[in-house]
Amino acid sequence: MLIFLFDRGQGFRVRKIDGVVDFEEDYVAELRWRHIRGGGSGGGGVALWQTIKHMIEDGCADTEIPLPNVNSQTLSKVLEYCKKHVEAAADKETEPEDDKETEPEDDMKAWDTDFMKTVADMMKGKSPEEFRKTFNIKNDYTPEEEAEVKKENQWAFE
Amino acid sequence: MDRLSDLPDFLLSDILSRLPTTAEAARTSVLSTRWRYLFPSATTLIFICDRRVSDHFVAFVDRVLLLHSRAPIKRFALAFRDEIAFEIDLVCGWISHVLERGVEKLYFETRRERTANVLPTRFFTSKTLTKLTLCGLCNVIIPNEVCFSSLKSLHLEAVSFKERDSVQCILSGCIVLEDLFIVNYIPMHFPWELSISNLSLKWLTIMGFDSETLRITVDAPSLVYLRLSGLNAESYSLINLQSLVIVDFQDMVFGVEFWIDVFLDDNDNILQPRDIAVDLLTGIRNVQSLRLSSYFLRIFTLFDEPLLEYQNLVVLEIRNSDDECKGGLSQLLRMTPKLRTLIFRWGVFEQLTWDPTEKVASCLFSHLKVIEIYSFDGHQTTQMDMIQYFLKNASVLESLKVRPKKNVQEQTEIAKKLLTLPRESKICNVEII
Repeated sequence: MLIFLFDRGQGFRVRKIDGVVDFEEDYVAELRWRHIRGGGSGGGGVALWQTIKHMIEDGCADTEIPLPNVNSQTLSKVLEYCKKHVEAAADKETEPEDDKETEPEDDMKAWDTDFMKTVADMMKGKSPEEFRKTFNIKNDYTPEEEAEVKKENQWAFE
Repeated sequence: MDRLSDLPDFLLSDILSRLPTTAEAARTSVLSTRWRYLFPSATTLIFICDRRVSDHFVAFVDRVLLLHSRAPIKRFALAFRDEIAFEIDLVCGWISHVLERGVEKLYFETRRERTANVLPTRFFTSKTLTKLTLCGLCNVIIPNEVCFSSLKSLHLEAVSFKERDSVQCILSGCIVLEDLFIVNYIPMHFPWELSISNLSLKWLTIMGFDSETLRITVDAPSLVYLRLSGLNAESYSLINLQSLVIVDFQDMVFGVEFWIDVFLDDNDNILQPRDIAVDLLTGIRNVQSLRLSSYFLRIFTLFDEPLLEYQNLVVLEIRNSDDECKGGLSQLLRMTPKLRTLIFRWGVFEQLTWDPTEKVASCLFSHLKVIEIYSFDGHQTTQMDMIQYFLKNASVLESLKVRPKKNVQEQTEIAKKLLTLPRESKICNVEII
């Protein structure tokens, strides 16, 4: 059981209890409520999704991960994303191979598309500085290298 | 902690593909070393040149196409805004390159006049193209062999072709085409014609705003949807439209001359405007759902007896066209024996006149179940009379919805009046919305 512990002040914690990954509906509902209220700001959704995805994939033991400063809007998206993937994976395991199998996959594909769109929308129109800040990206270029990269694609920076 | 950069390449390039332009995606290259070479692998490449074509622009496109070595190019868009000049060979080379890479959706826009040879010959036999949009190309030369074996959607906007039969040549090579959209077609040969004939075509839209008077021919046995908008054609020949379900003439206008002038054909025979309208209206006789501009109603006043019967028509929607139109509705209703739903959009109903002594249309007794009126001016007695007439004669009517134009207080009065009108149908529900 993977439990998402919602903490109003701190953000969000994930706990995995046994082999089955599940979601506490209440928390999802709570997130939705926050989403409607428009609470929170900033990004980090993809990062959260990545962490959870790794946890699911690795089948890691009982873990608790504090995830502060996460926008509730992206978080609810991420949660939904995880849920879809987990459900689809579960369906795949239990159901014999027949026509039905394609359905959750198509559904998931649509959801993946939606997810990419959300992230792309967050990226649109941001300067590199804003972008780095939003997604917490560390600039590992030297100033000379950065100038060179700009020169490589000069038209895009004009 | 930077987790976005930890995502696998294919996800990041998918996200980068969703940015408005490739230039914007390219700006992510300065974020960190991880991002330096990610953007050229996007499956969608969009280049919009809205200023002079500089060496920098050319270098940028060349570089992206060069670095884009493994991933497929699904969508490629290249637009030269305004009348920006470009080198034909260069652009032709880029288009060739993306075709070689199996591009599925191609968009090309220019406003230059000398663009005849910009499309490479191989373009016309692409097996991968599924959607093609061309804007503003001039004098396009079509090779002898045209075969778009996967093309489902074709949009041509302000395009002109060198030969008279070029459009037909292209369409003959589109064996799975479903959607065709032609805007401001520019004919190059007199008499001006636009001839569309295709077996698989399902959706067709022809729009023209400042176009010349065309002769329009459509022969499409699979056609389901037809929209003509803003055209001022001198003749319509609509053939084999037996599959037609939806016809949208809501933006159709006829010039003032349409009612006054006459046209001359090749042999100097006089073509009556009335006959032009008859060709248009009889060509769509199988339609099930019809949307008309209110201007159209005037056509029906030209005929004393019903022109034809729309045996399959169940939904009729009339929209306003900023022109005074009065009669015609009763004539139209006599042509629609199976009509089930009648909708008057904003600004239509208060313009109509109605003569209650006319013969009652048969659809009122047998089929008409829903009437929706989206602008009702309760002060005009004609309108109240018309509603009274509908309620009195429509014996199977189930729902009448009326949206009054006036303020709330007057709405109450109107509602009171409407709700007390005698109804022939026992199951009719009158609603003020």
